[in-house]
Amino acid sequence: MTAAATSPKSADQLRVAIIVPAYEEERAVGDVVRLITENLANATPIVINDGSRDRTADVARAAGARVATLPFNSGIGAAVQTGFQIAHDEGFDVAVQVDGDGQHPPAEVRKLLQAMVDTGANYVIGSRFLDDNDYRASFARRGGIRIFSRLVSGLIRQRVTDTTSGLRAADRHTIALFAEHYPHDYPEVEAIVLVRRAGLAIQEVPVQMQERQAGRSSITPLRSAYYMIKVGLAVLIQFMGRKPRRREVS
Amino acid sequence: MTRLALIGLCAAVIVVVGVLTMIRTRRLQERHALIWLIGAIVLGTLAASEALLGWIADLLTIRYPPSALFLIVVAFLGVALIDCVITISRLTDRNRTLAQRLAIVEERVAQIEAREAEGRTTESRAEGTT
Repeated sequence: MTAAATSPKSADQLRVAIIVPAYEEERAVGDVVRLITENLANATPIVINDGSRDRTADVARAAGARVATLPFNSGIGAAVQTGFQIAHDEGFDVAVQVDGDGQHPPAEVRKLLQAMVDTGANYVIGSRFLDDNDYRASFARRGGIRIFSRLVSGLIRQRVTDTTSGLRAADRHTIALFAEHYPHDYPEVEAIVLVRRAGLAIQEVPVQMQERQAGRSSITPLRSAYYMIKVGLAVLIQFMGRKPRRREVS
Repeated sequence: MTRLALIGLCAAVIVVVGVLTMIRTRRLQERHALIWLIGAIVLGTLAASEALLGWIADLLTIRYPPSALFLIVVAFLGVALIDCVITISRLTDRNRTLAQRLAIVEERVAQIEAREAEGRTTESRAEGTT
């Protein structure tokens, strides 16, 4: 069962929420917000400040974003989900998730929106590994990425090349699902399986990503082993567990 | 009365009195205390009644009855621990949901306040010109 496309609107007519989770990103978040407002006229940047102790919230607000601040650091999953809850409450057509560290050029967001309109997919993932790309990752990282790609592709019976991409677009159905259910610790891989389990359609599109402007990746070599085991286990449990119930969206 | 019975009974009485005191001083909710009270009563009963403990040990093919008592206490602790972990998971979940609701409501309040402040300045400006 696949929910129908959002509507036959064109990409420019959609009301788009851009969810920017940010934890201590005062150096990068301002530019991220400005790039969004300059390049995407129909988008509302919503920064979810995940209990930062620095000036992330002030910088984001000054740059013109709406800022929701979690009272304490709650993790990327909880932060992103807060964005989906706002998008759900306020009836946005699409919610796009963009990293707060400047890795995702807003121009690429338009590709996601266009793909959503064209294919009618409920969840569009920006992939660094489709077609030509100049994204370079370390050997170990590529290995890990490939393992998850195989695992997820096999489980959901659809090829997904970039399961850890943080650049995604969700339509109303997926927003409603995520407002209620969203994985916690390392949500990217799990979220894909969750969406498919809910009977929604997934589409990947090739995008270009930049090196992060500031801040560090949350995935250090030390945490990689934990990451692999935790996410692998979570994906399998997700797949075996109860199907998520999803409220119908008018 | 054997020494084992004495020790078992003492332990049971200490747990019961301790738990009741914590309930009275509101450091422990009745709901979570129940499992400990039941555990203490079972421990006390088994320690005091050699016949009952012997019968259970026989049933479990344990030759030395006090070992059966240890096994039961360990099993009880396992159950109590799982109860604890389940409670922590539920609280973590609710805590996160509350944090999210708070963030959303605060942002909404800030928007409303900003809009009101804007309305007030345009009002006062209009008054100033007339």
